Amino acid sequence: MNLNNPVVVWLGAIAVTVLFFYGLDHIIMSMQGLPLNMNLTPAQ
Amino acid sequence: MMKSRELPAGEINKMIRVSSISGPSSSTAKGRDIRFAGSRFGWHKLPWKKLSLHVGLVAILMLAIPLFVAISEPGSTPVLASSDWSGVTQAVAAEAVTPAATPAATTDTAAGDAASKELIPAPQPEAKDYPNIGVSSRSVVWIVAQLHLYFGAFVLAVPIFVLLIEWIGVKTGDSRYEAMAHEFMKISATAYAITSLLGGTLAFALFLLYPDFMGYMMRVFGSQTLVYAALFFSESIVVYLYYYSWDALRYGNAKWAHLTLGLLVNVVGLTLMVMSNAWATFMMAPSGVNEVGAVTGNIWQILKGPLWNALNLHRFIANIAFGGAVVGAYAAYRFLSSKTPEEKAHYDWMGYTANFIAILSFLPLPFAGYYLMAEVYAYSQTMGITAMGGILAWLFIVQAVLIGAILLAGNYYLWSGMSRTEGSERYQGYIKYIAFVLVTSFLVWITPHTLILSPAEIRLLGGANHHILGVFGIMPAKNIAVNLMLIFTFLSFQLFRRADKVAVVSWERAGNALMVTIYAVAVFNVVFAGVYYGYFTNTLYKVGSSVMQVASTLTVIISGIILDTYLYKGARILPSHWGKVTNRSQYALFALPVAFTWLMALMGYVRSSVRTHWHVNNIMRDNSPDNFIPAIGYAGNMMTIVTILFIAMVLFVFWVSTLSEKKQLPPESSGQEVGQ
Amino acid sequence: MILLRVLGFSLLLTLFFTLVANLLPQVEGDAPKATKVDLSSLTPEKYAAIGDTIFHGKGTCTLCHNERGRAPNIAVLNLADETKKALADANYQGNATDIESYIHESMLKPSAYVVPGFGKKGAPNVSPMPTISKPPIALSAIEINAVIAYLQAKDGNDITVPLPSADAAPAVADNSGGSGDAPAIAATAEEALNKYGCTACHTILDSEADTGPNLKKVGPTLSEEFIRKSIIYPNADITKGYEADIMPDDFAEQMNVKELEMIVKFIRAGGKK
Repeated sequence: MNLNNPVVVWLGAIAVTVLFFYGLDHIIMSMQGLPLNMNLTPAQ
Repeated sequence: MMKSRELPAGEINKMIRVSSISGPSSSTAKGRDIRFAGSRFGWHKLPWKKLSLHVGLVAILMLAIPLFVAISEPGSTPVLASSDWSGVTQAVAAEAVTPAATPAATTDTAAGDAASKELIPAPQPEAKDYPNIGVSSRSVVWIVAQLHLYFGAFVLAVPIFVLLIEWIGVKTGDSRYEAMAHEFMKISATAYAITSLLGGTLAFALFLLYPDFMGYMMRVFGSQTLVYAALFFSESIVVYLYYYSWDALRYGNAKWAHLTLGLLVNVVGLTLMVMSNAWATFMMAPSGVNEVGAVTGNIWQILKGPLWNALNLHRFIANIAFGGAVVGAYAAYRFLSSKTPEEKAHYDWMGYTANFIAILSFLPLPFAGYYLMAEVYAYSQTMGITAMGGILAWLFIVQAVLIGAILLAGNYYLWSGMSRTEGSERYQGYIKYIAFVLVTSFLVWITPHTLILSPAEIRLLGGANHHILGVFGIMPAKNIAVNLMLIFTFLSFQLFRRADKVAVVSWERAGNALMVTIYAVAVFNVVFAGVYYGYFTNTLYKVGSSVMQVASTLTVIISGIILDTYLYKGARILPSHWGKVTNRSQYALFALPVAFTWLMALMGYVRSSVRTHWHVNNIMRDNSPDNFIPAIGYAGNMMTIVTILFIAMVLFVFWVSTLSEKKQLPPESSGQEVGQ
Repeated sequence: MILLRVLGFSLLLTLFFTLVANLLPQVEGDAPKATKVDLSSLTPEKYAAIGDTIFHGKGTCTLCHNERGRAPNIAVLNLADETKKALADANYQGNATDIESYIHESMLKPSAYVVPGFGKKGAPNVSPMPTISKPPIALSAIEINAVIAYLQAKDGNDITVPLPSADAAPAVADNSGGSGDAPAIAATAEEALNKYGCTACHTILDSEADTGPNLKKVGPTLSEEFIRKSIIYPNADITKGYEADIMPDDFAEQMNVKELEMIVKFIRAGGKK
């Protein structure tokens, strides 16, 4: 993982962040009893 | 003596740390430690630091554990949302309310002792039973109560951040924090007497003008009121001790004792607040009583109503924001009247700190407010709809105007403050984009949904709502707007904090990339959650998505704070000049408390009005001549009156605080007779 | 000088907020008017009369309990017989023992026993009736007893509910007949929907009722004209799977034009708040 290559850095940051927020969305909605599908549509 | 205006905090820290005030004494006379001069009995040998910490902890436990018990104690069932046949309800005498005859409507009340206690229902005074002193009783109580709440909020909030600042002063060894904490506490201690006076006046006004209601409240809350009074005694003691011992308990272990006193001030203050909050929430959502108001539960069940903790949280955070805003006005005023550059620097920095406290604690406030509203809805749909969908709905548009003013003022102050540092030029370009987002979000937030239109206007408009703007009038749009405003306000913060630093860590690029993507994805998430779940799914998901948005905003704030802490470890500090800020920017520091004050009054108007024609919801009907919800124009005028009064009283407090610094010089004696 | 400038600025800002408040529509929220009921002379008959007013008014009972078949037509049925039948039913699992307790149980726990044929679609043992003591109907214990008194008295059965005591003679709020509980015109679509009891049969706002079509779903697919017509002439077009002659057909007389328009727009927008 070459941290000096800006492309790698940015792609990595985007990947990590998107994954984090995606997971956050799922957790927050499930916590409230409102599960989501993988594409974030309501599962109910 | 260092000129603090020339050196940023970092540099000063490095210099003062050498002669740390909390380290072993190095500047003492030979041999004997003069800090403990006179302590013949070996008091100094006791581990005071540890002791005071332990005493503090015990104090917290003693007061916090009962509170915690109250929180975890299963609450009693709130009284049913009742009807307009309340009068008939109230007519039921005690003997009818035995467990056998009580309809199963009231579910699990702590009815175990209901049969054994004498059950006295709430009184039902008629219009003629209310004392009349020639002016609207409600206006009198409104003004006195609101002023008391202002001052109460202030004197409870200031010790919170004073303690924190004092502690920072100890940790960093920077005496500027010490001085600021002391100065803030002076204002608070001066305001304390006024708070008590207003409280006494309020009590008199309530007993005079609403004797039946107060008689009932005293019956319900019983000896809790005496506990409240006793706590006030304790608060007075600790406040005066904390303030007046400031220089006496200045260094070393004594300082820790002083900090403990500060902790006690806060613990007692917090307890005072939650106790009085219970009176307000009981009026809105009574608990521990049956449907005619007879006390059936214990004091904990009465205290721990459905709205109590939500209100506690909301007021706790709001108090801090309010306190910060008011001391910010103090700092701004002193800045504008400073004569020397040192004074200017000192008060500039104080103003910045106050704004920091106010805005940072303001950021989570909408969430606490939302939680409170959610609890109101959960308790009574009718009450919730009255507040936000019914007659009081326009109020929340006014609230949007006020919060917009607060955020704009806070942001403007931060942007102005960028001029203090040379390093800020890198970031000044972003300001216009932040401003754009703030203003656009603000406009969305104030867009109303239901317009009161004449038939001709409806025809012109093509319906009751505008076909484009109407879509912005509902909660999903407003949630997006609020969250974006908060995220971008935090961005202003972050840029300001970064303005005087240059990072030196090796992973700076990656860290910044991460920060940028967090902002971008969070903004996208907020908008996505609001638009998709708000407009294209059912109600449950729509409401639930607001939590998603909150989480995104909080993620930005928390990750921003953490990342910056690590990113800027050992950073190169660029010169910044405290005191080098425009006079105009200080007016932002006046706008903040004015807007906050008016906003508090507005929210008080909502809180009282959701009770509609009840003194105690569904239990004790309001039959006074003032039992209607006043129109918002009238309410606005009342709010302006209390705001002006508060400004006048606070100016008095500021003036008195500065008065104690003045020393009149003795008249000249140059061989002449001393003149009169 | 600084003091004056600061005060002036603060005052101007405060006055700006005051101006905003005064520019908005000014509405006062009046307390419900009180009419005195002489409780010292409250007889069981008078109590039953009060119950009658509630049954046909605030309680919104007649929305479903009528001849159209949505719910047992208890206005004409003799409740003594109905109670006997229900209690004798092998399926009865409630705790009632007589007319009073049976009616009481029906209002507070509707699903404790569902008269055969009146259950929810697909769930015959679940009652579509809302809990009367909870919002939006939210009758108090005294009102519930009044209704029970009415239901007992109308068939000549004995009134067994306790009367509210005559000790105090407070003012009692007046409930004008009709399905509205607010004397004023509803200010928002949500208020109007609650006022006219739409949530009793339709999935809209926070209701999941399915006596009538799910308004949240169908709203965006229909034209405003169609929605308006469906409210004014409910039987003109019955959605497949639903029954005719259930929805009240007198909304045109009861609703204010503004309320109707608000409701139509709201439903068209999908019924989202």
